[in-house]
Order: sequence, then C-alpha cells, then structure tokens
Amino acid sequence: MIVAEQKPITDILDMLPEGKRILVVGCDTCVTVCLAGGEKEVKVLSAALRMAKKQFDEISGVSIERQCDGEFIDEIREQVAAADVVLSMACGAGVQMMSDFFPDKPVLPALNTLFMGSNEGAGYWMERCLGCGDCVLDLTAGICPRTRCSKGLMNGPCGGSENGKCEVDPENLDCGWNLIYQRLKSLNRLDAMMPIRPPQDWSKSHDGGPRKLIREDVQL
Amino acid sequence: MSEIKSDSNLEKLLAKGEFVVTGELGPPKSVDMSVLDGKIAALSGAVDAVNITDNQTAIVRISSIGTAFYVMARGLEPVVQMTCRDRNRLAIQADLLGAYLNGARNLLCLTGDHQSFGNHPQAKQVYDIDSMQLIYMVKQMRDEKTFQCGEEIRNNKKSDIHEPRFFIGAAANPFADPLEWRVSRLEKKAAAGVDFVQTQCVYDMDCFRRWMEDVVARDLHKKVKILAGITPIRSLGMLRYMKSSVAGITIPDSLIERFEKTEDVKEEGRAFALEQIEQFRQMEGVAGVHIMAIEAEKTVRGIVEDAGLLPRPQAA
Amino acid sequence: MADSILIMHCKEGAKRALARMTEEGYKLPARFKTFELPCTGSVNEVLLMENLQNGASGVIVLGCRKENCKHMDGNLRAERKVARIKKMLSEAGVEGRFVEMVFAAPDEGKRLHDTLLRLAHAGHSEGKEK
Repeated sequence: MIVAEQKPITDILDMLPEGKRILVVGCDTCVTVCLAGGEKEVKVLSAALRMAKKQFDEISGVSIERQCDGEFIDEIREQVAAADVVLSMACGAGVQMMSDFFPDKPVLPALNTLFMGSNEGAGYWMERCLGCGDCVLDLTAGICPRTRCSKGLMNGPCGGSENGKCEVDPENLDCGWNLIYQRLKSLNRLDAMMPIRPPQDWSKSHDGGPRKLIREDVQL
Repeated sequence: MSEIKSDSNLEKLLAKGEFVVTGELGPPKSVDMSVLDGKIAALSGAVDAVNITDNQTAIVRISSIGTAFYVMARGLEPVVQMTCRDRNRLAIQADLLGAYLNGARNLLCLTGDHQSFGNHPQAKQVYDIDSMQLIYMVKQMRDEKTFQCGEEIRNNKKSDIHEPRFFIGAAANPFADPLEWRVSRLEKKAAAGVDFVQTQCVYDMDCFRRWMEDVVARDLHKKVKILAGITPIRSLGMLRYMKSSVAGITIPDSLIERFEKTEDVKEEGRAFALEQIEQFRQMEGVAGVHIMAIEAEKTVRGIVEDAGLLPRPQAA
Repeated sequence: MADSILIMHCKEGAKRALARMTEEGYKLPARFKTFELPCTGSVNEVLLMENLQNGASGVIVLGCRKENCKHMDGNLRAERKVARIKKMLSEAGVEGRFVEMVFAAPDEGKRLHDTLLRLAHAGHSEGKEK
C-alpha cells in the first residue's frame, strides 16, 4: 500500500488561506490503513482547524473510497462547489486527481506521501517497493536490492556490511544484501549470488514524465 | 598475467613479479595545492603508484581525475579512483576517456561511501551502476573496445578504434560480513575482469591469513594481484576508534593489549607495520602492500626503507 | 457546555478512584462531566477533539496508575495519544482549551481531587489570560 504521514499542522495552516471555506477530504483506502488520512483523521484535523488561532469561514469534512478514481470524486462535486479550498488528505496521486477534477479550486496536500510499503506491526510501516518497473525479486529471494540496500546495489554486499547491519545506520538498518544472502543460503540457492547482474534498465523506472499503463483489451 | 594490458608502471612491475608498494593521498578541499605538494614530495620514490581518493566519505574535494593530472605532472604515477555514487554510466565513461587521454592508466573501481556520511547528505545518490558492473564495463571498454551500450569506441565508422586501456583495480575486504562469502566476492570480481585488488587495512593477521589461504586454494591469486592494506597505528585512540566505530575493520584484542602496554605508540605502530610487511612478503598470493597513511604521508618512506624495499624498482 | 471539563476515564482503576474520591467527601464542581471507557487505551480521538471543538474547556483522560492497567499498557497508549493531540493543539495555536493525561490510584481521593481542580483552573486561566 501507499504509506503517507500528515504534514505538521503548522505547515497545513500556512497553506490554508484565512477566512475561507475549507473542505477536508479523506480517503478510505491506503491512507486509512496507515492512519494518516481516513475518516477519523479528517474529523480530528477538522476539529483542530476549527479551534486553531488562524480563523477560517467554515471547515467541512468528508471521506471518499479513493481519491485516485474519478467515480468516487464525482460523489462530492456539490460539497466541493460549496467550498473555496479543498484540503486533500489523500496520497499525492489522489491530490493530483482531485486537482484535475476541480481546476478552479486550490487543492492542497495535507500529507507527505512517503513510499510503497507494508505494515510490519502496530504503528510501523516500512518501504518495500520503488516501482522500478523491472522486478528482480526472483533473483534475490524475495528481498528487493533497490529498497533494502542503501546504495541499491545489484551485486552486493559492499564493504560496509557488519553484523548484518548497514553502516549507514548500524543500529536500525539491516544490510539488505546480508538479508538476501542469508535467505538464499536457507533456500540452498547461494549460486544465485555469483552471476554478475548487469546494469539496471532505468528507462523502465521513472525517468521522464509520468509512466502510463494502457490495457487495450479493457478500454472502451 | 602474461601480456601487458594497460602500459601502467604498476602493471609492469607486478607482471615482473616485483613486490609492489602503493600509497594513498586525498586531494585538497580547495585549489590550494600547498599541502598536496608536500604529500607528493613525501611519497615520490617511496611508492610505485599512489591512489587518489574520489570525494572520500562523500566530502567534496578536487576530483580524483583532476588531481591525478597534477600528480602525474610531478612525476608520480596515480591510481585513479572512480566511485559509483556521484556519476552515471555516461559520466563515468566520458571521464574515463578524459583520464586516459591525459595519461592515467590505473583505475580503482569503487562503490563509494553513502552520501549521508559527508558534507552534502541531501544530495541525490546516483549508483546507476555498482562496482561490479563498473569493473565489467571498464574491461569491456578495454578488451571488447565497446561502450557499455555496445557501440564501438571510434569516432565514426571509417575511423580506427581507440579504446581506453586501464589496469583495473578494486577494493577487497576480507573482514566485512558475511565473512564466509568474502572470497566468493573476490572470485566474482575476478570474473568481472579485475586485474588487482587492494584490501582494507589489516590488523588481524590470522584472519587475513585464512582469507589468503582460501584465495590461493581457488587459484584467484593467479588471476588477480592482491595488495595487502596497511595503516600504521599512530595512537591508541585511533586504534580504539577503529575497533568500535569503523565497519569492516577487525582488530584483535591482543593487538589492543599490546598497544596499551607500550610506551611509545608511534614507534610500536611502526614496528608492527614492519612485521606485517615482512609477513606479507612471505605469504603466498600477496603481490604487494597498499600503505594508507592518510595525513601521515611523511612516515611512509621510512617504513618502506626499513622494510628493505627501497629503492623502488623501475619497470622495463 | 462552555467551560465544562470532560473526564474520560476507564471503568477499572480510574472509576474506583473517582468513586473513592466522592466517598471521602471530595466532590467535583458541576462543570465536570464524566465519560466511561473500557480502557483509556481505546480513547477515541474524534470524540475527544469534538468535545473540545464544541466548547469544552478541557478533556482529562484518566487512567489507572502506570503499572496497574488491567489491559497491560492501555493507559500508556492513551498517554501517547494525548501527547500527540496536545502537540497538534499547541502548534495550531489553540487557546482556552486543554487536554491532559492523569494516572490515578484508587486510594488517593484528596490528591486526585486536587489534581483535577488544578488542571481545570490552569487550563481555564491560560485561556483567560490570552
């Protein structure tokens, strides 16, 4: 899922124009799961904005299934029309789509979108995937060398791996290549460590303009 | 190691079977060359070639290539260092052509310290390729005479091929984890095309010895010239700091005890370095030493002399 | 509703503490309202914020003594939730309202009474001064 966190409320307040009608819009999918922008967070933030020192005309709040899909944005057209500014609590994709749908209103981001990741435990999410467009997880025993290695090496580990930790943060950061090595070892597949993996094709990653995916078989 | 690939002095000496000595120096942080001039003077004649570091610990200094030209003009053969952190494959290949054009022949292919260690932690890291892919690419340029993309290294279809021919080096760390895999990593670098390696500085001679035995058992010393790293100990604080805070350096407790008991740490450090050099000369598979005496370059000549390694031989 | 203080308390140690306090003769002024929770760990931030927004001067989350939570660490989680809300309110420049976490033991009637009144007064005066 996409993991995001709320901007500090000071930053949010700086963005919002005084005296205006603000519509706070949440998203019930990824940002609900990571406790950043769901229905509950909309209510808490709205209450804080109503009590804030900076005064606004009116604060309304609503949450929709997803802000990255037009069919759900359609449902709140009237509420948006009745506001001057939209404060979106969705990830960057949602904020942008909302902005496309309502080009005449400022649509502001209440969150900083962080990464594609997994829930590792209560209140703990970790980055897993960069969206590089060229998945090599079959070669590395299901552990991504781009996200888990601080240098994104394809032929690691480097000399900075010690006691299974990465020298960038020896207390908290596992050496990604040590994880790969240990898992390959337990799968009896250490042979996978020897081939020299060639340079990545970065043209499949984000390298100029937004990437697009078209499925002709489902287009109308 | 039969035919000479690069014409470098270092390569020729190694091909002759000489026990080589390389040194290291870090470029200055500005274009004030006064300190560097002193280091060049200290190392001239004491070493066969000198590594020029490249934005070491991600702190900005004059580039390795830029400094290499300065050093060459003053009679010292450089080992240019190229890291993967700051440049993509285009910049690297372009820089290599430029370096070769201006006389550089030895190249050390490194991953590069993470930018968070340096003075520009907010910079975007590159790592377009890693050190293994870099070795392969430099070898491809030299032996297949093509760029990484496969194009021939020539001005146009009618002109001759003029490829850069480097003596390719890399770092090797017998002490980093996973320990059991470190010889395999050297094997992988050998397969990628490395000609010589310099190891991380050695303090645990037993551990190093075991690594060398494994290297020799796999015949790797015949494909790759191995230079053992030495950093002479100059203070107890330095030793303790390395033990506690530097990844990839192993220091046995017995060595700490030895230096805790001694009255003159610098003299003891010198003595230990000389013992090490003697042991490396006896060890099968070790083709030379790489002395990293950063900010103590003036001590190198004395150590090399007392080890009986002066004068340095001339290549044919 | 204005100037009211809401005490959100658990039904275990905090409830007993409030009962004990009353039995011992320490009564709270009428503006104090109470709201019972199974455990302060489950305190609903939306409810807390909306009470403040709708005019309450303050919300006190009253849990068991730190080591005494029946659900192990519910009161500690409540403390962290309260800390987060306090920070948000402070950064937003919210005036005249407060949120506090209090840990109460069942046998400290007078002390609990004094603490609650002190918090209410301090929160109230802070608002008035500004």
